Amino acid sequence: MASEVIYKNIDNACETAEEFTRVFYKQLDNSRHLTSKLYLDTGLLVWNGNGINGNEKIQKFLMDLPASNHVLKTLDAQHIKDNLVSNKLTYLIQACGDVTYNNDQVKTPFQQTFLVVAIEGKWKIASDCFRLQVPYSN
Amino acid sequence: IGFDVSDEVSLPPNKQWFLIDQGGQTLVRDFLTQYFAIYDSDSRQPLLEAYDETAMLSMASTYLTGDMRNAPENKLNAYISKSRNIMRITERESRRRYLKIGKLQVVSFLSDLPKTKHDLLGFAVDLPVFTPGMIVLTMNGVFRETNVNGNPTRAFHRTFVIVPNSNGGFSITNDMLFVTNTTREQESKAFSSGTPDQPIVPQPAQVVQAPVVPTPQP
Repeated sequence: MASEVIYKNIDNACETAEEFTRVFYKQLDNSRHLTSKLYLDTGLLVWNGNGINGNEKIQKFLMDLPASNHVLKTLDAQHIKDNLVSNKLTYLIQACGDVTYNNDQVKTPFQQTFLVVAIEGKWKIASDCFRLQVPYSN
Repeated sequence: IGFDVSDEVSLPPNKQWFLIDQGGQTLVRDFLTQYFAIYDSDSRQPLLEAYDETAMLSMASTYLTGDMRNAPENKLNAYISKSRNIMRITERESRRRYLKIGKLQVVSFLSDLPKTKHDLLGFAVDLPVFTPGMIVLTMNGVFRETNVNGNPTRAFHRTFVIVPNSNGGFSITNDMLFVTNTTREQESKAFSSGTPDQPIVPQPAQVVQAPVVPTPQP
């Protein structure tokens, strides 16, 4: 039944989001040299409006950021009906929480949205938009 | 004797807009202008036309960590009671229920949220996907609640997935929203550039070449 397929997609999107964010933030905070493996070869990171294309450049960009600690407070996920990559499952994941850099005491709220696609049995990030919750107009 | 390590936190400078494709600039500006003109009006019902028949929407909401402001206008009850935070909502049945599916459900949900005025000039906008088959648009910003005592400001993060429709236009298929309180810094700068009717793209908006993923060939 169609509705059962929809339910399965809803459940799977949520459970994938839980597993994905557990892995992603653990790597980003503790083993950042491995993080780019989570991105597609042609993946895109948009970090506070700075666009970085391709997982090699993403790796270098991430290595240059100060040490971080991310604590998630909310998580949400949806499936995308029209696939981003033909015939590949695509999920939209929104993760929000606080980040501290260099063991500083200042907690800055952040919001991050991922598009992940299933490629050969692995979830890969097609795009990752990260924004700190700060004013952006000049 | 200490170690020669810098404990200063230096982060790359922020940019207000990111566009994967400069060609998307007009469409994004027009879309945001039109969408939020309706969203901020007396009735959000006309948004029915913006959503796909099977569109889905969910919203998550939380308070800022360590926020000591206790005034009634800082309460987020209007959002938190509807929040689909799957860290807290763990049962499958509930996760399904909090996800709104179909444009009637979506617009009915949006219509029940507090009335707003968005600070379009203050939007940070990211366009990570811009292909003939799909557009993904993410924004961060602040809005003011217009029908609540004290007109509190709120911070939001929102993502739209937009696809071409059969009428030659575009429809939203996914809408994912996050709402929280504004930080003091955001509050002090909210609407500081006035309240024009459309967002202004700072020049030059950053452009990066190469598509995110290969566009499927028909």
